[in-house]
Amino acid sequence: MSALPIPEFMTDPELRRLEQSGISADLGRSSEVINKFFVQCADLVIHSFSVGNGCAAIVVYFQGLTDTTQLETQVIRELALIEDPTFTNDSFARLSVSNKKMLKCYGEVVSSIVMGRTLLFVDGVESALSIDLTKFEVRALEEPQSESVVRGPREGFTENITTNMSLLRRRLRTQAMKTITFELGRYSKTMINMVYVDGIAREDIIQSISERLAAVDLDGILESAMIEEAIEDSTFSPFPQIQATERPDVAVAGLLEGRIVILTENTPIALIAPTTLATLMQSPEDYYQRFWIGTTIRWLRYLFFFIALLAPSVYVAILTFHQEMVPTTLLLRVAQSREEIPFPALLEALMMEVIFEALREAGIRLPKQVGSAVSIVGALVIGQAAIQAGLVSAPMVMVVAITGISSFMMPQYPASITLRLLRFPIMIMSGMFGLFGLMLSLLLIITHLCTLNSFGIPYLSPFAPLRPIEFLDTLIRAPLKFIKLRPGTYSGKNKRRKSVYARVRK
Amino acid sequence: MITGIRKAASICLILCLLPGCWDRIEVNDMALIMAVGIDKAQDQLIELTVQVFIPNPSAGGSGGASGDGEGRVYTLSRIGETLPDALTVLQKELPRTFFWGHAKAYIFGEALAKDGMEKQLDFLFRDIEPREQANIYLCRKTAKKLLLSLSDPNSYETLIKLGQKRSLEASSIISVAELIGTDSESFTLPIAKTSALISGGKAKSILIVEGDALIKERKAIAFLDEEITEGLQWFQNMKIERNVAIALEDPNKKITIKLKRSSTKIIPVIDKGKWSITLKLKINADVADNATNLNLMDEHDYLKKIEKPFNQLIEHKIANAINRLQTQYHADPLDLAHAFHKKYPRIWKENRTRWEAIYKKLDVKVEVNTIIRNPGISNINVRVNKGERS
Repeated sequence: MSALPIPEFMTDPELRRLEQSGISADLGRSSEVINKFFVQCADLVIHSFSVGNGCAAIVVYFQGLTDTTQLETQVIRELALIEDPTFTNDSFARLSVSNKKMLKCYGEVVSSIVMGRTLLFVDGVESALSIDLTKFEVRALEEPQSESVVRGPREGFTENITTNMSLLRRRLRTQAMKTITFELGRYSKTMINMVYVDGIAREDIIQSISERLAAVDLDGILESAMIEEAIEDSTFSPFPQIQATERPDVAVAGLLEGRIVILTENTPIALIAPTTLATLMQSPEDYYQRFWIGTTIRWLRYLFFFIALLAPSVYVAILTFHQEMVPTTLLLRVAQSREEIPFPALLEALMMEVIFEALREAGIRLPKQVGSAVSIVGALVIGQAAIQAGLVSAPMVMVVAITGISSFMMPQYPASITLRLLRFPIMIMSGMFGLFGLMLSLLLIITHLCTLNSFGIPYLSPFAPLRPIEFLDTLIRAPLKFIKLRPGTYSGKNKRRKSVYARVRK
Repeated sequence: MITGIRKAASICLILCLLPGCWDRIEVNDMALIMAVGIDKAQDQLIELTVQVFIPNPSAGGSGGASGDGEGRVYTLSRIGETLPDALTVLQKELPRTFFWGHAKAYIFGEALAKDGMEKQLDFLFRDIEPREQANIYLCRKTAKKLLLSLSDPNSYETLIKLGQKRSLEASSIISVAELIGTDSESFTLPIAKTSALISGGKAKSILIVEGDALIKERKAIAFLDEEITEGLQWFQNMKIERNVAIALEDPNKKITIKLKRSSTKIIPVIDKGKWSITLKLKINADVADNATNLNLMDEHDYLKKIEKPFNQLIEHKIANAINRLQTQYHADPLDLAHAFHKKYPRIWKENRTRWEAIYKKLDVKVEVNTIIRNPGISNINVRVNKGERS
């Protein structure tokens, strides 16, 4: 492990040499070397003290990352009690700290310090002790913001990866849940945990994900989205090929289906791969409500998937090319409300949709204090005032509103923004070529979806390639006792679920 | 990658060449044709009258606009060589594009209908815009006069509702296209008329449909009187809710039955060169009104007994109507020819040209079977004095 983030850009050759050199027995030399590495790091603390037998010693750590109370009681006070005439490596064993290790060279020392560990040097000893006393401010567990449910656990992932791991461990109490750790980001050195259940997950998928993760080399990983982008199959596709979730129960459900969860340090968003379009249409609550309700809601979601994608395009296409398709009474009404509008239907629709998108974006970004301003102005812009101003017709406002609502029906936010994005090209195509253009763009999208893969799993599975047995959990939400198989495409050796219910009839 | 960009760029360039929106038309630029009148003008010309809907901008947007419909329907009329030609003449004058897709009624004037409607029907069948569900009507005198005299506050609503009426299904363009090709080459078309009513203190005249005209070989040969129309309607299976009244003994005391369901069967027979046909009609009906002294609910089962007079009455009406068609008009709107064609294809082939002569002498039997199911929901005696009960 190299302590220098980007060796080729380190101008000082001495540092590179020092990185390899062993730790000197001379304490003064050691503190000199550390000072060389951490020039102008004002938050680095180098504290000198002496151990019980009078030897000089220093502890080195970053302010705010270390639990100083523990450092004082568990390390400095303990060391003061050592009476042995000579201080050797074995003397470190007396420290009652569980997570500690001996380091031999300065490179290791530097990388230990930046990880937030505390380094202990004692005069006359040719090694340093790295102690894990890391402690920093963390956010408490909160309810997931973007995936709320009425019934279901209220815990969401946090920024702390150890907490997130504990959330998974608490849900799957088995040694079969395996974790592989990666450290990604030249500067950020972000910890990534790849979690899977041995036997359920497919070997080749584990292999391919870990290979891709190992190959990633970025300056910094600030959010799991950066990893998602770096390892997904098609960067240019508008569709998310890896599911993102902040719910531990969703992550665990994924693990039990044989999918692989990737936890990233400093973000509450976990990744689940591989992902298909059908999984993006599932909400955890489908499984927490009675299955009739789960199924109905799922159908409603499929319906609104198409409405969100197509409603404005269909309106534009029919109103500019296929007026004969509208019931006469409705057409007369629409004609009447459109009479004063100076713009063609396409422009009207584009205008309204863009305004709606702007409103939505503004609603997310704006400071909380001015939140009400946007909703008031928004209601004016998309509403009666716009109609009276003669900019848009009343039916258009309805179409935009329905489209807006239906795009929020998608349980996965990335999927819903994809729909919003795709709406615009379809709208332009329908404005130019009518329903023909609409069908053309739909065909293009379907063709693209058919070519899409997520870690070797076809994106449209189980619809294409067809796996009717899996319709039990895609087209409908059957009671769990009927879903006897894990989704065959991504599960490994262990294909059968346990799905036995209590017997209620004799 | 480079070739991909090149491909995409060339596709974009090609798209620029197609000035895309060639058949794009905004609703704002449309004059929606609601009803069309077609008349004969002098010198073999055609006079086209169209009733168009042009939206009223001030009524748009805010609600409650459907009430003040006046001024939104305009009636225009021009003369041209043919029907599409007359339309072109109209189109030249008006800035809005005419749109046939929502036309609900095509009304043929009397003179034109008697001369033959084949050229105009050809346009309606051939052109893509006139829709197949629109109805074809005939009218007395000229269609122009009929359309101009309408002062219906809800003209387009009336037309839409007329088009949705079950009984007028047979006059839609698609059914007329079928009827024209039948073996007998004759059928009936409904007649459009105006009727006066009072709305908001003012007299208005609205469009109604009443009676049938007889079409034979694409020409109107007669406007049928009520006797024939009614007799035919039993077999055209149009009247779902229909009341028939009959007096049993005393002409002042009638029983009325309400038709619920009817089914027909046509049985052609050729026996030793003699052509005959049996028309069977089965009616399910309920009692709607009972002015006689009969108690329809008691154990005598009068319901069964009153069926017979109804059978005779209806049989008589139908037989009379068909008889008059045979002798007076020589037309076969029930398409009895088709029944023979279907059952005796070979004999029909030989006698196809002789059908008119055969039809004149055709022996028609009518059998009506009325089943009265329900005597009504109560049997309160409102007319019968005590002691007069049977």
